[in-house]
Amino acid sequence: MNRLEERGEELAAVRQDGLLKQLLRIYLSPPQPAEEAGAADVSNLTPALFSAYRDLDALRYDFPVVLLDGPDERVGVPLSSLMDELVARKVADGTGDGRQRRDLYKLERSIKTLTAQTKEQRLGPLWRSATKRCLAEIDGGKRREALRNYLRSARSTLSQDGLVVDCDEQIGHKFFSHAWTRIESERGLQTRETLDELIADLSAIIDADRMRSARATSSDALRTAMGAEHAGGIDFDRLSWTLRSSGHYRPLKASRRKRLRRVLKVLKTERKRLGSNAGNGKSPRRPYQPKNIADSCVDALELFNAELERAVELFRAVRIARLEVENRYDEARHDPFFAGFDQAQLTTEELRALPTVLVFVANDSLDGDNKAALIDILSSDLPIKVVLEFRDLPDSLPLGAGSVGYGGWAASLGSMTMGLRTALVIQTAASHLPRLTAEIADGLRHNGPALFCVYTGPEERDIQVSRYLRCASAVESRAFPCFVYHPGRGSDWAQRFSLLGNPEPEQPHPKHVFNFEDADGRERSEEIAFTVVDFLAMDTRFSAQFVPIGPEEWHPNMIPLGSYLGIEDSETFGKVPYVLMVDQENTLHRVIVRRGLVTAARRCADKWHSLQELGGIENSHALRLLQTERQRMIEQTGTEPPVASEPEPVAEDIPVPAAEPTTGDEPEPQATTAAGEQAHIETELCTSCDDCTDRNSMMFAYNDAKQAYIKDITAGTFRELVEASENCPVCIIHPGAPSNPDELGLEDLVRRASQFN
Amino acid sequence: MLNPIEVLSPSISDIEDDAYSLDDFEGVDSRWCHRCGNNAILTAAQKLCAEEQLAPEKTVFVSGIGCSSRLPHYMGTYGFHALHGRALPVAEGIKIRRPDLHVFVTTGDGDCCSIGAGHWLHAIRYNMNITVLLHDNQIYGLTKKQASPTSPRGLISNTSPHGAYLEPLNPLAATLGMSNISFVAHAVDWVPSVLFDIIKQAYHHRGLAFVCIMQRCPNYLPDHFEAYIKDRDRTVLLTHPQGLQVEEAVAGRFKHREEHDPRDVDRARELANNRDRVPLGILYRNPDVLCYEDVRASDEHMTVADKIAALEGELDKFTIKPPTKQ
Repeated sequence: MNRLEERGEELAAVRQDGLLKQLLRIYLSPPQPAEEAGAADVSNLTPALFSAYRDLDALRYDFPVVLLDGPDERVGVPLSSLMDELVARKVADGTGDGRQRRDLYKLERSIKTLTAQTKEQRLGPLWRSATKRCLAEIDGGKRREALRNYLRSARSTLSQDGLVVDCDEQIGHKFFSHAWTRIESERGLQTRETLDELIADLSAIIDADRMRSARATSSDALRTAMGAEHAGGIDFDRLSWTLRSSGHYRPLKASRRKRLRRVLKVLKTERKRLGSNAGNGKSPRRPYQPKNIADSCVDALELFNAELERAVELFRAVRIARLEVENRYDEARHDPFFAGFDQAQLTTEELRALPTVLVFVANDSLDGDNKAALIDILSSDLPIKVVLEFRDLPDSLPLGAGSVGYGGWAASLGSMTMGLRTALVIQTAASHLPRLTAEIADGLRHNGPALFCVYTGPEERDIQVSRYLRCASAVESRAFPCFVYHPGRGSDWAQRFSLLGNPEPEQPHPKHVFNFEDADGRERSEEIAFTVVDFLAMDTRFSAQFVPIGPEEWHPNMIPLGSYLGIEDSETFGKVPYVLMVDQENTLHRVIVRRGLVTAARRCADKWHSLQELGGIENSHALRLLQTERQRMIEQTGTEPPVASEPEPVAEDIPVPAAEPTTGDEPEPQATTAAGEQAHIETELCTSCDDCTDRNSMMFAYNDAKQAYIKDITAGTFRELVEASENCPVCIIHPGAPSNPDELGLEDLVRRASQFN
Repeated sequence: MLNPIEVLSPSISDIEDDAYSLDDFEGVDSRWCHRCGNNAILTAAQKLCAEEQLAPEKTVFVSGIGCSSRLPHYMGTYGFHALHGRALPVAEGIKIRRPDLHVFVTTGDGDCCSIGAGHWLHAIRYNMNITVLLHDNQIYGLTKKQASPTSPRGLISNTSPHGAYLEPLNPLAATLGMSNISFVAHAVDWVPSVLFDIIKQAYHHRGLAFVCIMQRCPNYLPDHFEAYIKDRDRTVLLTHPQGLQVEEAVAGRFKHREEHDPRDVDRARELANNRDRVPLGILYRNPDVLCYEDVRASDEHMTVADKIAALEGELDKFTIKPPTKQ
């Protein structure tokens, strides 16, 4: 039976199957106006994989982020990572056992809640407020005091501070402003050090000239300088003569002195602009605050041009100063050169020291002038950093016309810019900013232009799920995949391009295991692909493209969309794709996706595949070459070349396991007293009555099973040890012999201890 | 319709550590007296929860009234501090409606063997899958030293200044005489490792596991159990390949050890009645006894809305409503 005959039989089968015909009609036909009007039902549904994320407060993820102050090299770190680092440090120093670790995580949760309520605050005040909340939940006074002390010590261990921000509408602006300010401040600091050095050297030349001048060495000037108390003891006329007649003083030429003063003025003006980190009595601390932030590409270019003019003036002064300091300035040679000094004379290092300009633009506000300015920036060498924020991804959506368009040129600007080869490009969603912090910092330090395409999600009123989920799903679904293109990293695509930040980059769609209960209450699980259709399901403009189908209408030819997209077009005949969605009651629904969205999903998958190829995954050239080589080997040898298999694991020397790290709470070897008898507790018989630990918590402590041991024999007296033995209800503390022969009343104590040894 | 119950993703993880530690089962600070034997039982219960990784939200401790009945406050799980003597029926109610929960009962010698004796009898007979811990300190401690049903004859107390007149009720012997028994064990709080092993076996037994624990009251009967604590010859350790197995390091401390088959109810009764040498271990276990919930549990599923409506309905019975307009 050929394919045509098979198709004929399939067609006949479909014709006879009324239910399938009805489902296919839904799938293949565009939504009718009446259906669009009644499509509100679907707006209550969310993709099934989101059902676990209804309460984000109870989960740990990459937000809120702490925008760190220096000296930490990282510009932004998720609060959860910061707390994990803290916990690791507390465990390492022996103060991070189970309860304490849990206390820190509770505090983290409280900080998270407060951040959501208060929007912007620094970690310090948030920590204090969260501590109060945690303490208020504790009933016992003893426990409350212990918790207060522990959290105070934890805060001093965690030295970092910074603004704590959530994944809100302004996150792109906050994140990039902070990162850029940090990096520009570093750049300013380097320039400041250079200027300080040159200013000191030039000032020294001018001061030396002044100090050796006839005016400075006159007897009157010397008398004034030395003060009235030396008036009778020093012969200032004689001193003046001595100074003038010694050495070979040649005053500076007037032209040089004028040049030095002019250069010094330029350097000092620039130095003043760069602020001061250390204040004194006269001038307060005034950290450098870079200001080159624009809100349009046209303004950014103007700002940069102004910066460039100032830079030409500055670097001319710097170069003259260096020549002067080394006494190499030759007026005949250098005067003409510096008279014609302009931006063309700037070296690479000087250009690198230029302040950069940061510009924020939204994809929907790119008008004609700005589009042109943007292309100018991206195709230049100018150090302008463009943050292009996307509030919406589908730029042109011909809804209701029977087909769905998806994506526009702006949405592809990141990919397009890579073709210009000069600009660094990073594409990501707001949710993934913390994961690309290092790459973003690299981009801001990059000498040339940089484009940061960031999906930040629509306005608050248009978001049904949280902004974090909305943004994360843009990456997860490949609607807005992450990638990094760094033109300064090597000479080929393998080095320059990376798909960093995408889940399962080697797959067309990431897959997740979805667990649910069936009608009989049995647990079941299914692997679900997360596609662009799931992302669009949260957009009410597409509601009419989704049609929920009740269980009574389920048909064996309905297949999950992920599987549907994976089969050849010719095999899709008679099949209806669906996605799984849940309502507010956590009830699972099968929802048919209309053909328009399936087409959009295919187009999105195609775009993703292009990026995969750039990243070296399923590269068509490589595959073709592989096929050619395979064919050539078959022709030459007549046999199929062996398929590369996983290499056999190489037997390695079995490493000796390292000793378990100690948490500091393990029972130490029983303490030996001076007399050689051991003080010890029969720990396994301890009834956890708190008597000894309340008596001296430094000497006695509980192990992980909440049974007592001697933690530090030196943390108390022999008397305390004996009294603990006498009061132990199950007589399991054996005090041994005293270690301090000078302890008072030792004879009596030894006698009492003997009953328990 | 299908109900999704859980979705896992590598990108977002739960805020708490995956594994529960003993700390996770600690509630508020204990208000028991210093050196109180209840602490050992509390620690054993917390240790069991941690070792078995019981989800705190799926575990419930039910108690009546008395010192021992404060235990649910000190657990980091759900708890129900019920009326005097009514811990067992409350626990049974919980178990029959929520068989997915791990239900424990902590009760004292007054709560169980006096005011709650009727419920005790029937709870044993119903044999529901519950672990019962009887804290037997042989005195009423919460009300400051009155004789309880298990106080030995001659004990001087506020209600028996001339000494208790009657022979005490023996909870072990009484339980072993009831119908439908399936698990009976005896422990002492001052041997915590064996106490833990017994409670663990009780938890794993399917049916009502009754564990009677001799528990010191250092405040009102400070020397009452001294004879047993200091003289381990007055204890017989019961072990068996199908029963309790104790590490030699602990078992070696006991001079008297007996391999006792937990199916041998006659020998169990003999051991229970020997007050000179208290048994320590599992006296009786029969996993084949019918559980009440196996024949009577409802298979009706209730939605959250149904449960709220039912609860509101019950509470509405106690509501004084304003007169309706005619």
